[in-house]
Amino acid sequence: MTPTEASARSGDAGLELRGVGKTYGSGAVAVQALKHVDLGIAPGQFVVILGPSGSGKTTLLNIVGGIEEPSEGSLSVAGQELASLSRAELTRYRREQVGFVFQFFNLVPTLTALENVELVAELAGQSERSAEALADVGLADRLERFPSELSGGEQQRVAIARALVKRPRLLLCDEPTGSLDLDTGRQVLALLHAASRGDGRTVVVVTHNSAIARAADRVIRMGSGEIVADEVQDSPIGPGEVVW
Amino acid sequence: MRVLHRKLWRDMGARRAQFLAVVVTIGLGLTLFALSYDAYRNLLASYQRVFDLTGFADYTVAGGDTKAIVSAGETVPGVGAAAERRVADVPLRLDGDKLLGRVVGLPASAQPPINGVLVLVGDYLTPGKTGGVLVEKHAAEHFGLAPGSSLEVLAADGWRTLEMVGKAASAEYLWPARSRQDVLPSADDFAVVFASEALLDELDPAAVRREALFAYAGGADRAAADAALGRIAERHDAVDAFAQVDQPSNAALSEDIQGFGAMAVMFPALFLGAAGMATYVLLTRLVLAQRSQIGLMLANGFGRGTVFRHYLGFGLVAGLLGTVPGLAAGILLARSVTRLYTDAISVPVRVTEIHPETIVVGLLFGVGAGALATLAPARRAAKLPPATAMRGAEMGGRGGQSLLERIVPPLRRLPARWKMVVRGIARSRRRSFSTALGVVFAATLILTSWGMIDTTQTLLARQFGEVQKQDAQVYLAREASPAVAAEVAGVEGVVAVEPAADYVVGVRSAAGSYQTSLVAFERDTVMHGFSPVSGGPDGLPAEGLLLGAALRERLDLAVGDEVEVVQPGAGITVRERVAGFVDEPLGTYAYIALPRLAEVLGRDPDEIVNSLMVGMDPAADTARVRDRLAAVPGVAAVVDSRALERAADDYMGLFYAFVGLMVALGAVMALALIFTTMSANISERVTELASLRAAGMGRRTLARLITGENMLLTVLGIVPGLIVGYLSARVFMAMFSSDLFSFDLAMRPTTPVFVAVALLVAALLSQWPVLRAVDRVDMAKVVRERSQ
Ligand SMILES: Nc1ncnc2c1ncn2[C@@H]1O[C@H](COP(=O)(O)OP(=O)(O)OP(=O)(O)O)[C@@H](O)[C@H]1O
Ligand SMILES: [Mg+2]
Repeated sequence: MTPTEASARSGDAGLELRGVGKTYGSGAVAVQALKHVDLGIAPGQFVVILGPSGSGKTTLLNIVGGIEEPSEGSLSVAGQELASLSRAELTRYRREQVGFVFQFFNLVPTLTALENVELVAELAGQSERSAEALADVGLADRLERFPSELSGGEQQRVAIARALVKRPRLLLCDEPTGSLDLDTGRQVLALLHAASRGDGRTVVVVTHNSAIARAADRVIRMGSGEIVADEVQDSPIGPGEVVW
Repeated sequence: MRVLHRKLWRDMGARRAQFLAVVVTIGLGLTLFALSYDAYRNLLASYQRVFDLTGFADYTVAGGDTKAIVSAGETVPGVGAAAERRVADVPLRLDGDKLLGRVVGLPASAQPPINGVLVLVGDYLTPGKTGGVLVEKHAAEHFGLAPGSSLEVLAADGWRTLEMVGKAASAEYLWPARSRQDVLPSADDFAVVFASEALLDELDPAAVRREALFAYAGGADRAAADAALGRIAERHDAVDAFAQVDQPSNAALSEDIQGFGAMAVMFPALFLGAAGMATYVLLTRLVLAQRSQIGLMLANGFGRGTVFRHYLGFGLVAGLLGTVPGLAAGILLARSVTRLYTDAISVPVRVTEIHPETIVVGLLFGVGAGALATLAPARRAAKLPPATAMRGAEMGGRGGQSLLERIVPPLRRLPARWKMVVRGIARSRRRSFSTALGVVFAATLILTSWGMIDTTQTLLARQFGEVQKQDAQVYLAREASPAVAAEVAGVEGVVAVEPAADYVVGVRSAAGSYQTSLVAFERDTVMHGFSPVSGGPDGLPAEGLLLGAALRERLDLAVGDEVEVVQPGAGITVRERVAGFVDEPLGTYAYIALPRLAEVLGRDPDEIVNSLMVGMDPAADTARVRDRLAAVPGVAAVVDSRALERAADDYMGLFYAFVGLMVALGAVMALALIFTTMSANISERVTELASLRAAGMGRRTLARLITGENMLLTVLGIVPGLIVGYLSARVFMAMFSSDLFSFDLAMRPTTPVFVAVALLVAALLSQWPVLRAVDRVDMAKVVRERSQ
């Protein structure tokens, strides 16, 4: 299946990038991080993006998440053109439709696990769901712990709960297992995988780790700012079986 | 180490706004220091030059057996020269005005060795030309007199015309005070002329007093000589004896200049303290943020000393960058300040020097403040174990409920974002403490300065509104008949007249003697308000003296004690009990009821009245009324009390300007400091903030949260700041307080409110650049930095 076909299949409910490029700097020092990327992702897919360092993965994720603007091309999410949004509308887009998970968990150290989740949930007007979101990631008994009292995996799970509590359409994860050991990484992966199964949520995971790719519905490989391969896996393995 | 130098400059460049704030604060502190300290030294030198040029007396004894005092005094160890002279307090008529005058006798043939004059315009006296006089600078300039101008003096047999031969300045009248009590002289009311001794023979002998003057040899033990001469003065029944420091003009000036000198040290110290705090916060942040770099340096074999010196370098560079231009600006400005000051006081000689010690002390303190503030963070950097350092930037702060939440449990139900605000304060205690302390410094500086303005204004208002209520005081000529009172009452514009007596006296107790004025009023006077010190009588008692409160300590007196009141010239000594003490802002006087004074002197009340207190129609043109009063025969001099009040305001002008400058600088300091600590607060959390933005937190919400936290910190600093500021204002005013000015801090209740509001506004203003920085946080970039 070509990217164009995939985009056709995604229809209005999915994610569509048309000729998206990104150039940093100008003149002699210009770096072309993304070169004319066409990509469509259907709702409910668990997508893994692989690629060597510097290939433009983070750049792509940031553009989709609305924290960076493309220098060329356009993209739409659920039929809405991001370029047409004002700054405030872009903030609302991130608040309501996007969940971010980073390699470093970026929790607020002065707030408990529960409060960290509430902080974001309040934004979306869903603070009553915070405890539930933490229970979903298996942290029902850690609600009152501060980040410094949690393990790395637990912190990452708080970050996932924080991203999921507002029920975003898109869950964007940049190296979510990068600072975790195998077992913990596997747990986190399972959570992300489960998140894509429920309410037609699209989950995009950026990683260096090709082992993770075996659990994906679709694997996109990048190189030098371009998509070099895009394959759909009809029978991905369960996240629990991933070994690396 | 070239690379490390480059790193230093780049790190500073990356935080240029914060470093600039530190550099500016240090610079301002040093400008202030150099400006005020140099000006202070220049003033001292200018005064000293005048003293040296004129041979200002080291010790003066008035009254008593002058001949005996001189010959006994000459034998005191340390006394280099002694002389005798006559001085007369007699009315002068100048330009239609009648004013209090003083004729100081000088040898006509040559300048005297002690208490000579500087002839600024015209010539010195000529023997045989008795009517040719030198007019003192202030009076000459006030009345626009030049050699050849004429004036009149009230001689024993009526008005005698004099001719001005020159304009002269004297160390005794740098501040043209008539007496030690007369701290706010007005040139409208008092003029000094220097005349040949022969003229003194023509004046009313009762108005003439003899003085013995002493000059010390170099290296004399001044304190011992002062004490010895004091004993001699007492033995020979002198009326008054004072050392150079207590000479009226010098006492007023040294009071003023000592306060100036104290300010020259204290206010800059506040600035350097604030700059030190800011540097400390900045460097602590820098070291925390560069933990991994430090680890890298240590792991790669950089010595701990190198790392220490590298971070110490930040403080030294910031110190130098602030100190050098700050000092230069201060030294340049010191010249103008000296000129302003000497012009305002009308000092005839101006010495402006560059004082190497200002530069040395300034450099030491400026660079020292920077280095000292960097010492702790630099040591922490050098002591980091390489392994810990390599673990990278530490998360800023630990978790935990804040004290505030524990004290106020409902706070626990706040939304998570406001909890973040409340806990942000406990997050980095050291930084929060520095911010609050900075606010305390600023509040202290502003409140102290403002408190000084408030106090002087309140005291002047009280002096001229509640204590001294007459509009003018009319001095009567000796031969004036009681009918003059009726005539004065008939003058157009005069609405009230009361008889009064006003004599220069010495008040003596076992503990010492104090020269002042004894003022007698009718008991039901409306011209003077007596505010008793707790427990004293209300109003003027039928018997006994009311004394200025300062005499309680100075003469070791209590209510009921008996004192001697000595009137010089007249040779009268009476004994009277102390009935109470009064609290008056300006001067320390003695008061008595008019009938009682007549009784103890054994004379008729009409005979002892020598002046009239006059109330004027508020609508009347006071200058006109004054002229009409002067024209009444029998009126010797008119003192316009309202003009005194205006003169007081004029003298305060320079002071207000200086204090106003302090308030402005305090605001700048608060701004710089709050800005530095608050931007450190932000840079610590960039990642956190960026991830909140990525999660969809709006810029306004984020701005509100950060502003909330910073304002909370400011409020935490304002409360102790106002308390410390109030106390320091009290200490400061107490330093200015003396028997001449009783400066009890009188702060308007609105002042702390204004200061609090001003500091909050400063904090809000310094939010602006901080919030702009938050606004510019590049989420994509921050997120990438951390996921590398
Ligand atoms: N702000 C920037 N200025 C200049 N160049 C940039 C900037 N941000 C990214 N780049 C460049 O863009 C290219 C793509 O960066 P990106 O972060 O997307 O790579 P990545 O695939 O996420 O790499 P990694 O796996 O190492 O995280 C890189 O060559 C990088 O150097
Ligand atoms: Mg990346």
